[in-house]
Order: sequence, then C-alpha cells, then structure tokens
Amino acid sequence: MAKPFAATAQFSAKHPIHVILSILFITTVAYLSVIQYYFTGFQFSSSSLDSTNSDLTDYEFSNIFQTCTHFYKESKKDTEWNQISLAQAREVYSESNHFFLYKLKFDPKDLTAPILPIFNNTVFDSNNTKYILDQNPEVINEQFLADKSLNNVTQWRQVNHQGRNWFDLARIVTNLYELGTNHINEADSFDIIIISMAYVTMVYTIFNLFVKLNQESEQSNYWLGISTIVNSGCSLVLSLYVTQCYLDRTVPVLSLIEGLPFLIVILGFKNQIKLATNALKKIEKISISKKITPDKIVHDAMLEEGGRLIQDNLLCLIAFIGCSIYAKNLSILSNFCILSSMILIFEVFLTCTFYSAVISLKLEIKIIHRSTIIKQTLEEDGVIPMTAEAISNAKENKSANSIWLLPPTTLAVGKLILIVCFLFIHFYNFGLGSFSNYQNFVDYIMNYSSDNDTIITHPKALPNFVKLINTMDNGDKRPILISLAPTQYYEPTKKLHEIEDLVFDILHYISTAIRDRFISKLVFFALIISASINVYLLHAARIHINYTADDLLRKKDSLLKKIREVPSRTVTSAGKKSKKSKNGKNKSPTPLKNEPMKQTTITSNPSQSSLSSVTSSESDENSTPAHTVEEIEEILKSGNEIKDLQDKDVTTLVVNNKLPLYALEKKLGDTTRAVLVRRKSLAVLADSPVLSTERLPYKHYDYDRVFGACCENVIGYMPLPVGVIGPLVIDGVPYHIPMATTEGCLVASAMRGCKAINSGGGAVTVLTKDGMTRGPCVRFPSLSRSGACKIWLDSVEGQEKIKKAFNSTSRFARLQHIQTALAGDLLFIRFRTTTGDAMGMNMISKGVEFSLKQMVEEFGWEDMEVVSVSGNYCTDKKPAAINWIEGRGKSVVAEATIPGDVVRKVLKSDVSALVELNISKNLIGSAMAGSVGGFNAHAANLLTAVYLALGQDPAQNVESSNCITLMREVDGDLRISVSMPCIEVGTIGGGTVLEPQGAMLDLLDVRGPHPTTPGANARQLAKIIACAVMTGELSLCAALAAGHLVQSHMAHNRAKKPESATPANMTTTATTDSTKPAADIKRLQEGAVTCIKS
Amino acid sequence: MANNNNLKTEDSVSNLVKPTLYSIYDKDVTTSSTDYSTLRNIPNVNEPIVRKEKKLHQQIIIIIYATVVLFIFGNIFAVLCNELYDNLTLKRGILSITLHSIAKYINDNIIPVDKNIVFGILGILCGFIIPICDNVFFARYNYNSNSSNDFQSILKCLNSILGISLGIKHLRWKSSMQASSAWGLLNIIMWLYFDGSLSTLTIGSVISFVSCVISFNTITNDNYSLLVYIMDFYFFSLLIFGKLGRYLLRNC
Repeated sequence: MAKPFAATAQFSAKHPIHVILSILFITTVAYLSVIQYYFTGFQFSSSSLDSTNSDLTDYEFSNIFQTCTHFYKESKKDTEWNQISLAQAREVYSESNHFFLYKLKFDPKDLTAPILPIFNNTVFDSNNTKYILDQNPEVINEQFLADKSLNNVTQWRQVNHQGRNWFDLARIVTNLYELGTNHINEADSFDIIIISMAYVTMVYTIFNLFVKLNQESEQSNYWLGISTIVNSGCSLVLSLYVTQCYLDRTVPVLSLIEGLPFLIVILGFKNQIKLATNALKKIEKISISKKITPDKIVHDAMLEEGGRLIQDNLLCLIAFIGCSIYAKNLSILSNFCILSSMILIFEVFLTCTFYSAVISLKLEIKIIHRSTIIKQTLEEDGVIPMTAEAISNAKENKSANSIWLLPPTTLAVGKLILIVCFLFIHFYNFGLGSFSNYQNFVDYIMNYSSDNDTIITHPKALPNFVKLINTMDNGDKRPILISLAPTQYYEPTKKLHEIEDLVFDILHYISTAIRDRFISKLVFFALIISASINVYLLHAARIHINYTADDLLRKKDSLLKKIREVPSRTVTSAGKKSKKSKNGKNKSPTPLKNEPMKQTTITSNPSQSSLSSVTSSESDENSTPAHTVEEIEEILKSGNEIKDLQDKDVTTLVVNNKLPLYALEKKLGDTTRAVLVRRKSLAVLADSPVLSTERLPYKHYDYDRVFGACCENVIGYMPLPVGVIGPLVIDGVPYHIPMATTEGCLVASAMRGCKAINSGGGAVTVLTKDGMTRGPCVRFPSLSRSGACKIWLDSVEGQEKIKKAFNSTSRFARLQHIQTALAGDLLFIRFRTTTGDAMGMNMISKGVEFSLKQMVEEFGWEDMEVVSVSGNYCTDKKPAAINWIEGRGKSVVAEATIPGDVVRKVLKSDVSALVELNISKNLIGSAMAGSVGGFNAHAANLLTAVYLALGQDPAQNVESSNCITLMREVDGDLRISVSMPCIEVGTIGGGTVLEPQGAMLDLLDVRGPHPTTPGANARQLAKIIACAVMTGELSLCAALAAGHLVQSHMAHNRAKKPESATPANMTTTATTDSTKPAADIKRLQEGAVTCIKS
Repeated sequence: MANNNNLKTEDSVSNLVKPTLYSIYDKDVTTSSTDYSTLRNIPNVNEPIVRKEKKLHQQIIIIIYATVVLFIFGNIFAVLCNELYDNLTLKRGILSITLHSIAKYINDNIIPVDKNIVFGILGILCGFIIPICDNVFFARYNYNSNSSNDFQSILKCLNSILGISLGIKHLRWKSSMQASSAWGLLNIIMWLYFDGSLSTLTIGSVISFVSCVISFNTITNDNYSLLVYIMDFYFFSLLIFGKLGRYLLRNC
C-alpha cells in the first residue's frame, strides 16, 4: 500500500530543493490568505467588492477604517446615534458624510509645562485629552510631523495604551487567559485544567520529538526536529486554506485554540520520527561499498514505515470524516472535523514530499561526511593522497546516479540560501500583511477585559459632547457617519524613543517599499532567480565532483585515443592471440588448455583497463620494427614524451638502462601498460621468457590502487583460490567467511566445525583489548639518564605529556599506554594505541616519531638518541612472548558449546576423547615443545587463509596466530574456547583497498571505517577471525580424536578391513576420478595416526 | 585433478600429493553440506546475557508503584466522570452513579470505607486486569503490532478522553443520544488506533455491560442515552487503564 507513497518520497528525495521550495512557496501563499482571514477577516475579497470606492480600496485608509467603531445618523435632525457594524459602515460609507473622530490622550509625565499640539478640528479639549474630528485620517500624523520641525514645542510620540511601552507580555497572557476562559460557555476550572493539560502535553510531545531524534545518533538532529514541526505546520496552514477557500467551511480561532493541541497530541510525530530514524539507521548500516543514494534510502524507509503512517492517518481520517457526517448540524464540530481530515491528508502528502526531501538533504550531508572520513583514514594510514582519493571516490561513486557528492561548503551555501529564502518570503509576507494587522490583534487582546471598562479603546458609545454639539453641519444633507478611532496615547519623546522610532521607521519603510508595485515584482523575480541559482549551484557542484572523481579515467581515455591513432590491422584479437600463443616459445604443456579461457575473459570483460592493455599489446605487435635506442632518443628530443612511444620502444629503453624499471608507472601514466612493459623488459633482462607468456596473469586488474599503496615493481598478480565457510553464527549473526588457501581439506574441515558450532547455538565472543603497539629503541649517554627517562615515562606526568603529543598527530590514533623496559643504557618504549578501523602500523609510527621528537625538543631529553623507531619491542612479525602476554592489536576470546550428540554425529568423535586430546596435544605437547602462544592445533592455518582472502598482512600471522585452545566437558556437552591475544587486522588501508579483498570484506559487512564508532569494523573482523580459528581447531582436534577412536576400534577387528579396502581402492582409482578421493580417504583413515605429520 | 590421471596411485605417491589434512579426516569431510534451515532455529545467543531476571523485591517494588499510580488514577477518573456532562439530559455527576452505587454496595454489605478508597481499588483492578489477561488468556495472540505502550501513547489516550469530554460539554448537540452514540462510534476507532488488542475489547465490553447493568435501575424517564454514555465512558476508561497497567508492569 505504501508503494506509491514511497515512489513519491523517492522523487522528492531526488529533487530536494525543488520540492522544499515549491512546498514552502505554496504554503506561504496559503499562509497569507489564512492569516488575512484570521486577523482582519476577508480583507481581500471585501476590498475588491468596494473597488468602485477609491477611499476604501486604499490600504491604509481601509485599515484605519476597520479598526474604528462606527456611528451613524440618518439626518441632522435625528438625535440618536446608531452604532453600526463594519459591514454596514462600508455600505453606507459612499453616500454619507464621513468623519473620523480621534481621541488623543496626552500624558505629560514629569514635564512641568507641556505644550500640547494644536489641531484645527479639535471639538473637545479638556485635561490633556483632545477629541479631533476630521475627514482626513492622516491629519494627526501631519500635525505631529509639522511639530517635529519646531524646536520650542514639546515633542510627543504615540505610545501603546496606558503609557506602557511595547508589548506587555504579562498583560497579553492574562488577557488571553481571560479571553479564553470567558469564551467557553460555562467557564469552569475543570475545562481550563483540561485545556492547559492538553497544552502541556503538546509541549511535551514537541520536546519528546527532539529528544527522540537526538537519541538516534550522536550528531544533533535539531534541524530535523524543526522541519518535522514545519511539516506539520505546513499541513495545518494548507488545510486551513483549503477548508476556508475551497470547502467554504470556516473554523473559528477559538475552536482551533481548543482543538489543535488535542489533535497534535493524538497524532503526534511518531511516524515522522520513525521515518527519519529508519532512514538514518539505514545509512549507518549500509557499508561504504554499497550503492547508496539518499533517494533510495528514503524510498526504502518510506516503504517500511509508510504503511504504519498511512494506517494511522487513515484510521483517524475515518473517525473525523465519520464525525463530520454524523454531526452535520453541528457546524463547529463538523468544520473542525473536516479541517482535521484535511490536516491528515496533507500530513501524509507533505511527509512524502517535504519531509522526505529534508531527510534526503540530511542523508546527503552524512554521505559527504563519510567520504571525507574514508579519505582521511586512508591518508593517515600512509596511502598517498591521489590513491586515497581514487579509492574513496570510487567507493562512494559507484552508482550511475552519483550526483550526491557535494562539497560541504556548497551545501552550506545552499542551505543558507534556502533559509534566507524562507525567511525572506515570510518577511515579505509580514510586510504585505502590514504590521498594523497584527497590531490590531494585539490591540484586541491587550484591551480585552471583562471587568475593566476604563481601558476599552473601542468605546461602545459616542462621547456625550458629540451629541450635544452639532457644529460641523455645513449644509451637507447627507447622512453622517462618524468613525470613532481607538484612543491614542501620547507622551513626550525621549532619546530612547527616537532610536525606537528610527528602527520602526526603517522597518516600516522596508515594508512599504516591498509593497510597491514595482519592487514587489522585483523581489519576486529575485526569489525565482535565487532559487534557480541555488539549483544551478548544486548541479555545478555535482559536475565538478564527478570531474575530479573521473579524473584518472579521463587520463586513461586520452591515452587510449592516442594509442588508437597508431595504424593497426583489422584482425580480430582472438585470432591474433591464438597465433601469438602458438608462436610462443614457452615449454609449458599447458598453453593450449589456457587458450579458450583467455579468449573468453578478454571478450567478456571489455573493461577500461583490459581494453587499454589489449589495444596496446596489439599495436605493439602490429607496429613497424622496433627503433634503436638512438632513434628513440631522437623521437624524445623532438618533443614526444615516453608515454607516446610504443611499448616495444619503451622496452628497448628499459633494457638499455635508459629508463629505470620503477619509474614506468610515472612515465607511462598507465599502470597496466607499465606492468606490461615491465614484464617484456624483464623477459629480456632476466632472460626469463615465462614473463612474456600469460602464465602469471596481469590483465583485468586495477593497478591504480596498487600503485603507491600495495606493491612496487608490479609484474602481475597471483591468483589464489578462495573458498568460503559458513554460515557461522557469531554472537547471533550468521557470517560466511572467505578463505584463500591452497591446502586441500582446510575449508572442508572448517566447514564441519561451523556446522558443529552452529548446532550448539553459535559462537560467543569477547574482545578484551584493542591496541596496536610500536616499540622504539632509544639510547642515553649514561645508565642514570636512561633510568631517569624510564621513571619519567612511567610517571603520570610523562604519560600525559606523551599522550598529548602523540594524539595530536592523528584523528584516530589515541595513545592508551606506554610500557618501558631497560637493557643497559638502551631504553625500549612500547606505545599502545587505538587505530580506528585501520591496522594502524603507519599511523602509530607517525605518532611515535613525533613523540620522540617532542621528548628531545620539548620534554628535556636532549641527550636522547633514537636508535630505531622500531626496536623489536613491538613485536611485529616475529614470535615474542610480549605479544602473547600483553597482547597486540585485538585480543579476542571466542567460545562455543557443542552438544554431545553433535560431537558424535557431526564431528564423529567423543567429548571426553576430545577433551583428553586437547590436553595432551595442545597443552602438554606444546609445553613440551617450549612453545610461546602455540597452544593450538592449527590456528595459523585458518588465520592465514582468512588474512589472505581479506587483504590483511599475511606476515603478521606470526603473532596473530598466537592462540590457546581450551576444551572441557560441561554436562555432557563440549565447551571449546580460543583465546587469541594479538589479532592484527584492519578494514581500511593495506591490502583491503584492492577490489577483490574489499569485496570479501563486504561479504562480512565490515569494509571500510565504521560510520559511527571508529574501530568497530576492525574489532568485528577480529572476532570473526577468532571464530574461524575455533572452527578449524574444533574440526581438526575432533578428527584427530576420531582417528584415535578408529584405531582403537580397529584393534578389535583387525583381520578384515585392510584386505577389503585395498582391492576396492585399486579398482576405483583405475576407473573414475570422482570416487578416487573417497576411497583414498577411507584407506588413509585407517592409517590415520601414522600419517599425521603435524 | 586432470593432472592426477598421469600419476601413479601408489600409497606413497598419494600421500605426497594429498594435503596432510586429508589423511586426518574421514571421507565425509568434503561432502558435508550446510543445512541453512537450521540457521533459523538458532536461538539468539545474546538474549540470555542481555535479559536480566528481575529479583523478587524489584518486582514487588514495581507492583507497589503500579498500585499507587493506579489508585491515584482511579480517583482522578472518578472526578473526571463527575465532571462529564452535556447541556442536555446528562447532568453533572450523573455518570458517576455507577461508581457510587458500587461504593454504596460495598459500604452497606461488606466493609464501611471511604468512597475514594473504593474508587482507587477499582482503578487498581482495572489496571491489573488487562496485563493479566494479556498473559493468561490471550497470550497466543501476538497483537503488539498495533499498540505501543510507551508514555507518549498513554498521554495521547488521556488527552483524547479529555478532548472528548470537552467536546461533549461544549458542542451544541441535538440530543444526548446523538452525542453518546457519536462517542460510541469514536470508541471503536480509538480502540483500533490506540490498542487493537482482544483482551481490551473483551474486558472493556464486559465492564461496560456490567456498569450498564449496575446503573440500570437508576435510569429515569427512558433516558437510555445515559446508558450509552456509561458504556462509552467505562470502555474508554478501561482502555486507558489497560494501557497504564501494561506500561507500569512492562518490566515485571
């Protein structure tokens, strides 16, 4: 059901700015109309009715006119003045003699001799109060303006009622309260309690919205909360507009004030919160290498949460529509119900459009943030910036719709423009509505009072003197209409007031200026232009980003074109290839077999790099005979670059020592071509024709990622078979773990371990430590100095200082501890630090170097001599007890319980036999051998296979495979645990930047830096590896124990088995391939123990 | 494997060519397949670690706390139903005849206590009955999808009953029957929106029926709208008490 809504959401998420702007624009239009209605009635429509009357159509005049109380007298002779309504006054206005009656009250304050201004038409004057009767509404202001130029006259200024300045908030509140309570028919305290409770809950609901949104992530979701409220506000405004203007159902302010809090509380923002948090969680869950676009995420989130949103709103909609139909005759209730149902409809619509657009903007910011983190991590880990950029861009940029990489600054500008636009529209709106409209409302509230008649500025009757004096009759026979304006209060002007006036004048000036016919259009066009510039900027930013991301590819393209310009025969590459391999001089018996495979790979994978390499090799073959070195040098002198030469010529240069092998990548600019040339050159230089064959593959590989990060002098890549084990349930989550190995049976045996562990409910892991180490060696002139330094380093002060220096070098590296050891005057310092998601050796080395430098320069150890940044006290890639004891990298303990019958059925062993074997072999055996950390069956086997598959440093298997395997019997079940104190892994940098290795990390969903908690991915990887080791341990120990069982079993009936087995073996091996291993294994099984070599 | 064709199959050759591990394992090791269906039945290992068994005294504290809160709410609702009236036949205090007759019955026949205590105890009973029913009679229905028992939703419920009472009071209804049946229809939607559980529906119906019966003899002038009012009010009250009870006893 949510599908169409999800599609709408996706569309809006794709064009966030367009959607947000257009919705805000529509809302603003609706808002204008609504606000006009609520504060001044249907002003637009009424003034258009009076279009024949020039006075009433005047905006200012009309404003003043409608704030007045109107009195009417048919003729002069009438003694009674009738009070008439505004509408009646409008009707009679045109044919009557109209006057404004102003009541001005002057408050002299502390002035001893105030000079009151003199007005021409003063009808009554007593005790600082003046009544002025005039036809021109501007007369008072004109008089005051005239007075302003005179110096000797007291300057008066209008103040707000009763001489109070500006808004008196407390009064407004109390008056509002009175207003509210009095309007309820039977105002009793219980109703007030109910309504105030509704308001309190409404405030709580809004507060809760912010709290819940902020709970979801560490980053503040303040703007998301605001936009949720704006979303609901927009739906309110739009629905008010629709109900008023199209459905012609007006909802009085009072019922809005009473009903809205209930509506807000009952509807709440639950579904919006769910939608937002769902989308935010999705972007956190999705690992970096998956294709992510905000619109897709919003679409999915809407698909998941939209159903509930629609269900809730539909239920309420049914209730409200039912109510409005049921209570047709109760206009207040039915109108409010119609309004509520409109709100519900608009809320769903706006959540699909406006809110989705806002969420997508938010997601966009997160994506940008993440790509920056990847780049930084890679750079800190020592990958050269260009490669880092290529990797981080490629990772985020994979999808075809890669338009979401905006630089933060552009986005900030975009947001700023958006906000300014929004504010401007509203400012404009306020200007158009004129401040006076709001002032009226405030007036109304300010002066509202149930019991105090003295401050009423809307007198209900004309003052008596007007009735007495009829002096202004000047022969005009028309009826008389007097508009009694609200009382105006004046007091002497002070300095502060002048400033206030100035500000108000400026504001007023701006608002009138905006209202100007010409300027208003200009402003409107400016808005449109700003919006289009905004959109244009976004697109420009996208194009720019795309350009930098594809920079490398562009370079390749240009290179490709140049190569193609070399004339070549049009022969199919397949034919060429076969000819070439037939002519090949290699003595290998396999080229024929390789042939078809090669062709298919070439034809089926026309990727950029393969195309380039194939073309270059072709052009090489087809070219005219090679030039001599002198000729090539001539060509180079004539302005050509090395990369413009043919491969053969470059090879000639290399062979003749004119071009070093290592510089090929830089000189040629194409890494794949560099590899090809290097192979050709080496084939000559090393006299190894094997390099001119394709036995070591080199095509279809992204050498751009290798260059500067993984390997130098590249001549190809070594394919390794990759197997997979799993699913293995680790802490409740199933994993499929890849293993690159050439040892048969290893994957199969681990697979069996997985099966056994799963049937016991999976493995449980605990990570006890996470800190990479580096142990530099320093020397002092004397032992005492060395000792002093050691004591200083061990002290709190020393640790703190070093930590500060160390931490300043990296965003991710945080020094945990410094351990020291003294050997003569040599001091060994072992730094242990967190490294985020990188394995971190480069990161930590940088920090160590800086810390040592600071020690010499700042901390008073000038006589310190750094012997080596790595003093083998780390200890990296060498067996060492310190690693085993103190740990290095991640220290993980994994445990699993395998039910007794699973041990018997799946592992074909016995719990007690396994426990005994473990003690004898893994504990006593290793102790006898004097092992350090080698209390396991074959941890290194599994660990290295996983390391190779996941792009970890295989050399670190030395200490990483330190492991103690423990087994014991618990209630007839087997409990196995592996404790591995130094698993050194990373999910970014090193070999993980290569695509195949990265893909395998994706299989485990741990690729790249963790979006929220740095280091979480690497820690998870360490846990997975420990569990993989455990499967191997379990399986091998079980097999060994089973072998023992078989042997003891055979001791009982030794006679039959060997004889029956041997002939079977002979026959099967002679006939088929497939049955052979089975037979072999059966036979070998019998002699299991004697064959064990490990 | 193809190359193996050329090799002799003597034991020693075979042993050299084959990886060591093959010699240790039985023949099934390469043919074992994974049963993915068992994966679904694997219990979540994390759960027993995360879930802490509440100790007895903790449970008692929760129950006492819930009792106190429900007692207070029982009295609040007595006040609320006293204040619920319209400008037609439903007079102030008329809705609370049910509660008062219960209190009277208890005072006369069982033990003389203050009315407020009776109201509080009724509140406690209403609050506890729904969670108990959830766990005893309707445990097999999993209807959590439609109701979330957080603080926010209770607030929503409370506000809706307050809003309804405000509406009943101030709108100019044609007749009391119109207002009461409007509320009755609204109750169905409210139940769907806020709760949707069978236990609330059943118990609510029972309670509204019982309250109807209790106050039946007090009805005068064929004022059946009052009966509908009583049913509406007590159904909705039970809905709120049910939510409150579930919320308070969620950790028990």
